[in-house]
Amino acid sequence: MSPETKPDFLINPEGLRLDGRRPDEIRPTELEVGILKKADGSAMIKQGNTHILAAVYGPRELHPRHLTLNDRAYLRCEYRMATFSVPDRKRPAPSRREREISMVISNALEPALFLEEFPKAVVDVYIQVIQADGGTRCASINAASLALADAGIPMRSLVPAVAVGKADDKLLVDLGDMEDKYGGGDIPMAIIPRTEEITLLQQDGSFKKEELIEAIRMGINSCKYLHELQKEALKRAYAKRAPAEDDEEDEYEDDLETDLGESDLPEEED
Amino acid sequence: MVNDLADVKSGDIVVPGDQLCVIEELFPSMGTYELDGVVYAATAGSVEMDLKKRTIRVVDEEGRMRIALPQEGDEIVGEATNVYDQRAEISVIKINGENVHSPLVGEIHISNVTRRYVKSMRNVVNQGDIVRAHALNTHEIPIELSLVGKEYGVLFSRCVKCGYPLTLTTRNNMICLRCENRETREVTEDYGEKFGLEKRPELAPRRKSYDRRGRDSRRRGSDRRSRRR
Repeated sequence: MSPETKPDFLINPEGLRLDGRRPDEIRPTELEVGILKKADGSAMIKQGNTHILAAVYGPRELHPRHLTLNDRAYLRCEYRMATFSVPDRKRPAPSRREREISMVISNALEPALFLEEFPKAVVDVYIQVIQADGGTRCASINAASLALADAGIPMRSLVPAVAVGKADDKLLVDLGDMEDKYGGGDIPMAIIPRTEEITLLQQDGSFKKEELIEAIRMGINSCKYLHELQKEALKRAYAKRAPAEDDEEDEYEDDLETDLGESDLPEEED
Repeated sequence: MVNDLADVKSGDIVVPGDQLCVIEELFPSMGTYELDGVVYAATAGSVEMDLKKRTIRVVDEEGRMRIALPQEGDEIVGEATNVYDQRAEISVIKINGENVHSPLVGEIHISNVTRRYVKSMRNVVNQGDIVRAHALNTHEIPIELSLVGKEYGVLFSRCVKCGYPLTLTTRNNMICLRCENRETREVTEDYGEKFGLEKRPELAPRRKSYDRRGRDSRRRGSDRRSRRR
């Protein structure tokens, strides 16, 4: 392990966290849709120092055939961490942890998708963690849900996800790597924002009943904020793909200006 | 008033989960779903309302649904991978001129080859042929394809005996210039043009004359002979 020391405190006397955030503040988040050319849908998320790419292929024919479902499409998620994504080189073989997170992500996304429109097909979601700094599974869900929307897979809603944790007996939203390692536990959660249905809820560490309820409430609030960011990113991607309408308006304005100029000229001569 | 009709207006950009209108106002169609009487967007794109049919849909910048599957009427170029008596399987290469990277299959049924009678699929398409077809179903796997129409059919084909590219003579008759093997295909009007294969009408198979009088006279002649006996 690379030299890494336990910080003296996760929350400083002023009540701020290691990176200067308030307890209910998520990390600066950047979302971008449609960044991979060959994929049917793609998205990137930068949540603090966590950088993740998600690519969606399909719906397409499922091989091996025995996995096909007769009433809906099969959602195949693959969460992979790059060898250079963590301080120690991560061995490239898919680990037990990666397999579990892949399953958890596909279970979190499935309730939001209309997979029954594509029976016997498969929707492949490939998630690559470029840089890991805590909260990768939640960030992956955020990115994967955007990539699915970009691929045009019909869905009930986007799925935002966030982890709520505990450090020094205080609840924190969107844990970083340090807070995750040395804190008292975390609860990753994903929701469908409109109905506040929870599609992912895991827990690590121990929480009191009141703490859990408060954590979920905080998580839902942060998820709703992330949902706004996701919506914005999707709309931005659409505006980027279809700038035609703006061009027409520009041309129109130009014509108007030239007309004004011509009509102005004779007046000046007079 | 149109503006009071729904929560959104035509051309608005929406994302999945956005409320569009209630079911009494407009029916949900492509890219939307209905839940408890309210219509929501299921995909990202711009809203399109059809006030005549009273439907609402969400489409992308090209007016299509943004999904990696062809819809009805799309032009598809593919390779025939398997040909059976009644149908042929096509592995899709291009949809509307754009390369497809995911494996995708389509199939042609014998009834969708031409409007004329076809005895066997093997007379019109062969394994390894490059064909241009159009899709008959929307967002489904496998894609039903059709070769009906002048611009649809085999684009390029090889001799079954020696593998040399086949040259078109007339209509749907082909000849291999290396081994002089003759075959038939259901071809497009621009067969082989992209591959530098020129049409060679002078090599057309000689047809037996179907002159009715000639045939009749021969038969009559034989009849006469028999009568004489």
